[in-house]
Amino acid sequence: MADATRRVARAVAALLAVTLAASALVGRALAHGGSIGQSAGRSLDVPTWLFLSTGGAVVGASFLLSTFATDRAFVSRIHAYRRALAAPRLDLLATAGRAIGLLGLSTVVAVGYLGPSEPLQNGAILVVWGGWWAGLAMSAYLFGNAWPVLDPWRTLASALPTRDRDPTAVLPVSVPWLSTVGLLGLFWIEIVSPLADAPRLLATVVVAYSVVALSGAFLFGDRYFEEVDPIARVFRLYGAVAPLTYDDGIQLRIPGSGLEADILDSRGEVAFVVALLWGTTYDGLVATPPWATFARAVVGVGVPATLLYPVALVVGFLTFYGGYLLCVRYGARFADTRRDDAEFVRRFAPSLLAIAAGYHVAHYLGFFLTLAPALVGALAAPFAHGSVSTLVLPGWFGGLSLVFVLAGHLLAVWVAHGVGYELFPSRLQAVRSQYGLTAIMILYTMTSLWIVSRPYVAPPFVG
Amino acid sequence: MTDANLDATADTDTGPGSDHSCPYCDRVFARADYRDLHLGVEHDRDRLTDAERAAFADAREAEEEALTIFRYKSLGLLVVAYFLFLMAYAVSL
Ligand SMILES: [Zn+2]
Repeated sequence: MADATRRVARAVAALLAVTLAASALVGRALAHGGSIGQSAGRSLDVPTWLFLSTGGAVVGASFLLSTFATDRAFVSRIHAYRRALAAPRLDLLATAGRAIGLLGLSTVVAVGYLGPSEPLQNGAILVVWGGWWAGLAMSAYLFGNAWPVLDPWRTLASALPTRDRDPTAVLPVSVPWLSTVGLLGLFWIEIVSPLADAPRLLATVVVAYSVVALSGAFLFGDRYFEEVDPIARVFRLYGAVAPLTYDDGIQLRIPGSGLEADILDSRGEVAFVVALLWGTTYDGLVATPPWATFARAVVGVGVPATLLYPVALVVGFLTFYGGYLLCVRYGARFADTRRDDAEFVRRFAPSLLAIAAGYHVAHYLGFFLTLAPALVGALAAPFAHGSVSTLVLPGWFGGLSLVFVLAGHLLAVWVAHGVGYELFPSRLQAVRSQYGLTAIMILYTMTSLWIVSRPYVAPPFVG
Repeated sequence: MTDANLDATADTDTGPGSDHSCPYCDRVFARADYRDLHLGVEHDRDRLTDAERAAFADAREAEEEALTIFRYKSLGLLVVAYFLFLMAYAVSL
């Protein structure tokens, strides 16, 4: 046994050495890549094609490196690692969390309607976009999912009567697909509406969402939040990436190991994961100069701008979804297996959540840190019209977002490695089953790196 | 990545439609060596028959050999990619 441990230690050391050697090269490329976004217009140090292929190659190389970890016991030990954390008075913590959630909701509605109309002074705008959609979402995959406790609608619903009906029996459509459509709808509203600038409108949307959530909870009880509500689903899926999980007490695990479990029940839930990945990508895509050029050209030939955004959202989603299905199914052929394609599609999809998380943090960490002082200021004095303080981030911060994109992909490769080992008796079969998935991951990486390295421009024809 | 034939060195039947099922659970495998590996990996090794244990040992050995070859190939590919990128950076910087 000691011998096996030593072998594992040696393998890990070798893996680290190779990774470091590789990252020295990549580090150089990223440093340059970072300056692309920062200093648009200046001559580029690294041509875009080389920068993008370096990113793709890192993902490909990490796939090859992961195949060096062939000790089944080692791989499964990492994946099964759990440690219970002592957390005193969880019940008090939960009560405090519910109170904070309710306070948050009432603040957003009250300050949204009555507070300053300047967006950076308005607590509703800052709480929703800075605190919740950037900050809390990041905390869900970096630490653990606190949304089930904080969710103010869930707290309210628990005090209200419910019919406790079965959503799958009542709704005429597939519930996960409905949730997916709801998520795409939320991305659409987020991008095309001036919700980030108009506090009154934001408060109205929050009230409308509350009506939907409470009606849903009246009909279906807790199952509304577990199956229908797209927001609860986003947080739950992000939480699967996180190192902390709740299972009869708070447990610590290796980040990403929650993604190796069979957490998706149907094709619709796979679609939801892809919609989350695509929505975050689309959010970044529409803020790039090439999109602005494209949108102006399309609108120039007579396509209404109001149609352009939702159509592009749906077409992009179908492309990502189709690409995933195609690659995973095609990749399954290399594995020479009698297992069902549908199982691959379900089991490998959670690894995409690591990519979505990496992309989300790349997109929102800078945004969150910049707005954090303004958020604190607005919460301390919600109705004051004082000066707004924001944090100015150093120039190298842009380069970090490229590191986050890559980190998400590397975690995804490792997750897929573990899933492959769990699905197949032969380790070579496990490696081969990932060829297709690795190919689509390389494509996703290059797409995200390209978007993240473009300079920001406000999306045309919206707001 | 055309090493599909490497770990087929054990005398297995790889013809289409040939299914190898596990006697202990309902899983079916495309190749006999996959089934043999499954027996040793997923089921309690002490409860296998002697023949099954021997088949697992053989399949395991063949798998290790194939993995070693795969690792050498990966390493070669990584080295080639590394130098290609070095050259690409040298040329374009
Ligand atoms: Zn079996």
